[in-house]
Amino acid sequence: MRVSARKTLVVSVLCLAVFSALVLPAKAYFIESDWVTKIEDYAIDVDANTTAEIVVYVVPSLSGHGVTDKQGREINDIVALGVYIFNELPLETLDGTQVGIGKAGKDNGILVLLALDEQQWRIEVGYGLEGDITDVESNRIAQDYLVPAFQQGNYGEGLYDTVVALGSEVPFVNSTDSSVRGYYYYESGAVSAPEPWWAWNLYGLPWWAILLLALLGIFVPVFGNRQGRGGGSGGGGSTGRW
Amino acid sequence: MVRLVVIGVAITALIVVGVFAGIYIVTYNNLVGLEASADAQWANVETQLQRRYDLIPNVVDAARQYMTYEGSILENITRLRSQWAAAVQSGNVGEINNATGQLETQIPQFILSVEAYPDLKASQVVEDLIVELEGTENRISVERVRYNDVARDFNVAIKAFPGYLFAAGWGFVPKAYFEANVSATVPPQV
Repeated sequence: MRVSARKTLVVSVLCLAVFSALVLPAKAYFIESDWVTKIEDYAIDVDANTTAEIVVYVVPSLSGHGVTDKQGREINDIVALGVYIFNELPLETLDGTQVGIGKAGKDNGILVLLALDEQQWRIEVGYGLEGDITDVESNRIAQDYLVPAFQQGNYGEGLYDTVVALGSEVPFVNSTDSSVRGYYYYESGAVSAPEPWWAWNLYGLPWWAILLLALLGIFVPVFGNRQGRGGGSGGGGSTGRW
Repeated sequence: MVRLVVIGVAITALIVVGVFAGIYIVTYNNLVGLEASADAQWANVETQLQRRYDLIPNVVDAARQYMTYEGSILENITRLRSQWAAAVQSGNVGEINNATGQLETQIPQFILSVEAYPDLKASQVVEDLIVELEGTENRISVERVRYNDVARDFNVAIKAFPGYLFAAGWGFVPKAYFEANVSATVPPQV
């Protein structure tokens, strides 16, 4: 369970860095693999110590990246793209499960989004961390670590320092406290006692009535639940250029 | 024989009535749920508008020390802020939208004009406030997009079968969408 959550972070950082390298060979090795490893290791530590999840997402350009909104239009604005990736885009892990950014119910994710061609950065902070990392703080972190290093071409270092600075803002959560870690395990589906079948209902309508409706070919579309798999965010954070 | 037929008819009638009652209940509960989420999402939009309202005086005060030529933008923003608050008090939707729309043309202009003042940009206080203002504008637009999504779900539910049959009778009316101010999509002149 724990491993899969770790993989999530590893893979989301790794595959996206690799992804950008694969899509545009000219930009291959945007950051050296040493830095990728360091960033991954740090992100995993943050997850273990605070349950917060940091994801780095790199697109070669704001156009042509193929991430589309619900109407099928590509999102070309970095803020809107960040919000969409954070809340809607399922990120695939090594074992094939799809996850969101941050723990469900805690909304404690952080997304660092980079658009290389446009030289734009965006730090999107989940609802649960907006108090710990205000817009102003995320902007200062980016101005202090990301922007100067990127201007010198030290992408790996700048990204690592940025991730560390962001992670340092997240309060420590005692990982041995099972009540705090509850969500962590809950996510993997280990907890949550199953409801007895006779008590199952939907919007107050008992199962047998649903079955009856279903048998009669009458299906009311009340199942559409867009709840994300991870935490949520609402445009909090900061944006800028390097 | 006749008794069997009567029983058969009765059972069939019961099933039919049960099915209709089921559709009725599910539809009603579904609409109530959708309307509640649309209203809750609208409250989220209002929270962010309030956040902007609370932030504006700080930004204006901080910027006033540096901006001499651009004073009219600051005055406009302050005036529109009060106008917005008054409209919210009175509950006049047209007035609220008008003030909101005008504010949304002024704030990006203000942010752009700050770029033209090196002193102003160099001020850490102003920079922080501008970051916060931008963050607030982002939050407002995110919450609006979400409001439109849930309002659309609700509107579809009351216009589609079977909601269409009962929605008017239950007093459900379609939710208005938030439309981006046309002038807000035109880049400001600097």
